[in-house]
Amino acid sequence: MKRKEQQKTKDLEAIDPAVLEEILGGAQVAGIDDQRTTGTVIPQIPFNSFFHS
Amino acid sequence: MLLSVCLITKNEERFLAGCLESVRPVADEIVLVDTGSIDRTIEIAEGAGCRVLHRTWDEDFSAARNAGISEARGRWILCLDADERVSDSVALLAAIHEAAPEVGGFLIERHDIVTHPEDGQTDVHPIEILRLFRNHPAIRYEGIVHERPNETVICAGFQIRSLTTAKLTHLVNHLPQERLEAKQQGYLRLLDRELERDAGNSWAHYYRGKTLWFLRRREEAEAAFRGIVDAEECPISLKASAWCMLAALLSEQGLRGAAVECVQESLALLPDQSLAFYVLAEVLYADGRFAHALAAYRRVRRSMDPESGPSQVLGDLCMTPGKRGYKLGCCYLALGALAEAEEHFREGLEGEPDHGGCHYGLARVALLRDDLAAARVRLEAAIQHDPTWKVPRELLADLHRSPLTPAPATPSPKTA
Repeated sequence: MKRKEQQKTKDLEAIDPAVLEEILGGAQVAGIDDQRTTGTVIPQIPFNSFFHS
Repeated sequence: MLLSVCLITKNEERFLAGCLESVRPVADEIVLVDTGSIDRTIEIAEGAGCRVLHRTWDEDFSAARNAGISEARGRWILCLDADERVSDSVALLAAIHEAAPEVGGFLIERHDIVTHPEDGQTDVHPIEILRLFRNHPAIRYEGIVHERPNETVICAGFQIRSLTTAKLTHLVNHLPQERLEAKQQGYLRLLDRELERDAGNSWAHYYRGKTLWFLRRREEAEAAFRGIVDAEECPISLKASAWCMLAALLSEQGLRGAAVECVQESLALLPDQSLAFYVLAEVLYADGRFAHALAAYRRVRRSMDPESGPSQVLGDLCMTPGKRGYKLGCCYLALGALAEAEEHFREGLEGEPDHGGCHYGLARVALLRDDLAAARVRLEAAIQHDPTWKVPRELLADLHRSPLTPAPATPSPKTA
């Protein structure tokens, strides 16, 4: 049961590349590799700061 | 008399004068219903020539608005809040003069300007809102909170059109946090009352979800949004937006796979919206997928783009030139593509010379090139733009402490 729960959690955490491909299309990100994270990552502010009006 | 401007107020001394100024060229009269101000609101209103009506606040926004509308003498009504401003108000008159007899009201695009205290940056959320309508006895506001006159315009036998020539600006977060929280607590109480009366009111469920989220009651917020996406009868724009809210809530919990699937659901309902792509971009950035985030940010509409159509979903979002330059620049910076990062930060500053985020981004680029003098200049510009933003201030202090050692790069979530 615990393993099943863990599996469920893992699935929720992992982004499915096929879903991304479907939304964004492969051509739009061609030539740039996500793994090339050699630079500086400026943290963005949390979602909770955005969506109230 | 052609146009009556109607407002309801309570302690709006900080905002009221700007609002009244924006409608002065077109208002034949301004009817202001005050529900118990103890600040200078009444003095400002009377000084500007408003007709002031006093009314006891009975926890019903529609009742207060309708009290003002009932007293209005113009053939058309423009309803505003004190923290809203009209741009190109003369366009309102043109729309009224040209309105066909069957047109009962106009949707006006309102830009909700949200300023984030965390980084001094500004977001623009465009929504279409019915604020200009005929003075007709059957057209009245409905709902005790987040009130709308839309259905009564239709029931009165009229049509609703979109007005693209005038816009409203709404200064959202320009209140201290305690006042914002108190306001949201009040909204929640009214929304619960509204839902007791009409449990199937999708709008009330949606706003309740957002309010709960603001008050950090995340599980209840998630339940509210799930209720909307599962509802059989609910406007598509509301459902699409609720999927995005769910995506953001799930992402906050680290459930980014589930979040992206919610975005996919939202886009399946309304493919041409910006909100879903913005949420997706933020989720991907948080996940360290900077190239994909870049692609998603590029799909978000630009606020200054005249080709951009009206917003598609409730709570839609567009990026100002500065914000867009900042977001794209951040992605390139994370990817180690300094020339592209610099190009986008500079582009952002061309559109918004005071954009603190872009100055900060250029400071990071300069640091990576060991150009400490340029970094200092940019950090000072960022601080000047927003003196309360801690991040550039701390980095500048670090540089002063150890001027020959650039600040280390923050590891990405993937490599941490």
